[in-house]
Amino acid sequence: MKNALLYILLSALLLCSCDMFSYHPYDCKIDGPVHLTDKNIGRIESQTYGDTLRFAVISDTQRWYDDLNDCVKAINKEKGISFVINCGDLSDFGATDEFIWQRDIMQRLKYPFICLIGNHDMLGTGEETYRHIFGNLNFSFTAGKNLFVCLNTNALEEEHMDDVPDFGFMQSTIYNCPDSIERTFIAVHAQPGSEQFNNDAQYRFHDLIQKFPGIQCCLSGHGHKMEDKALFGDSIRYIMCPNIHKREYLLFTVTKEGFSYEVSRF
Amino acid sequence: MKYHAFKHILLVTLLLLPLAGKCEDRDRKGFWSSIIPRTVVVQYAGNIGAVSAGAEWSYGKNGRWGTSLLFGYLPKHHSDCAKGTVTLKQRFTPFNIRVKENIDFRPLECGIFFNTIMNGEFWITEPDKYPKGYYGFATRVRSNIFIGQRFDFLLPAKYKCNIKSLSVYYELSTSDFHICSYFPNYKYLDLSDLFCLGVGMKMNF
Repeated sequence: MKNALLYILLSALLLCSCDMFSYHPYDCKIDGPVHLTDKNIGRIESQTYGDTLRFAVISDTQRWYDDLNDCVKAINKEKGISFVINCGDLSDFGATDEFIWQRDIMQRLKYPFICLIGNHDMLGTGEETYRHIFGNLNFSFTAGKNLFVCLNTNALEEEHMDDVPDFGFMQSTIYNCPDSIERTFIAVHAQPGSEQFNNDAQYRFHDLIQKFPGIQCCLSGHGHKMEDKALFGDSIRYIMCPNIHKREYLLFTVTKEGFSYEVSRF
Repeated sequence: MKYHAFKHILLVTLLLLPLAGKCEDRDRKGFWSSIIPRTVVVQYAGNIGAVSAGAEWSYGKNGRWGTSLLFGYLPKHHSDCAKGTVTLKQRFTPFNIRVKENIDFRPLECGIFFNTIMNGEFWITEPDKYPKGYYGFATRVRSNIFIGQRFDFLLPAKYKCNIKSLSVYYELSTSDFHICSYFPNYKYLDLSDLFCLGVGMKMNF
């Protein structure tokens, strides 16, 4: 019986060493890399010059860890990519482990990556976890002569829908935009017209994004399907990226003449 | 395990000790006497908070079944506020082995527990602003299953006036969130991602 006791003790010790103690799915104890938005923007801005650019877009990666992992391997095989944008919904329940697992897979990318906040990411303590691991909900960065504006459009998740999207942030980004910028891409999780979007303000949103220099298109996710539409009947396209379970990502190429993209399967 | 967690456990244990004196009349029969819980539980981690404490009602042969109510504390960490949790746990311990004269080993303990967060932005039924069945789950309540083991140390007769025995246990638990996440992703996720460890102590009066 002494052996049995020893066995139990050893197994308990082994389990302890595995760091398996967990307080709660919504416990915001976060180990490992944090503030990733700023860190990755630093990498992108220091490594990207001029007009031409290639970047990949993925979206709605929640609870599809195997698919995301395969996607990261596929994107790593692509050459000359400047960065990867994940259009949000990294978690399904807003639970902390979900963000950590997603972060750890995205960290395997050899390219910098940017993660937007999705509506699922705002559940429970999700928003707090997102802010700590990634950073602000609205942010912008430059890649050579291209400006990328990433916006939280999950108005349904907010107590006051009118606060989203943050028009003040958009206006100040337009105002402070460097003269060198020739093209702008907008990235959001939910596009105008979706149930998450503050649709009373969708025309105001569409009008305002046209004030950015050389507006190209608005990237989004949320719909779990591929869609490329001029939602307001003009030249500005709203391009929706499919969810990762469709095993597709979008690969954009930007040149002086404009942008093009292809759907890559993995 | 971090030092501050031990500090919490010690504090809660000390606070609960005076309860022991209240149980001196445990042999008295009667309805009220029968519903007084005979066990005080203190637990570290295990998906119900950093540290939790409460009472257990055990019944059946050798206390084979147990229902416990635990109140837990979830530290703030990187969230906006610290949170309180309440857990209702149902345990089944099919058999026990007498290891020594005063040590019982229960090689299998299993059961289910439901945990709710008391404060913060959580819901049981989705707020009206969402279309019907938009998310389809409750953020406030987690359902969990667990499996574990337990040792009971029976105290010598001279101490028996208050505490009959002390138990230590550990349990591996997993929540509905973790089960939903693990099964479509068994290539990337590991079994250690699915289970979470909790350890605890019981004082049986």
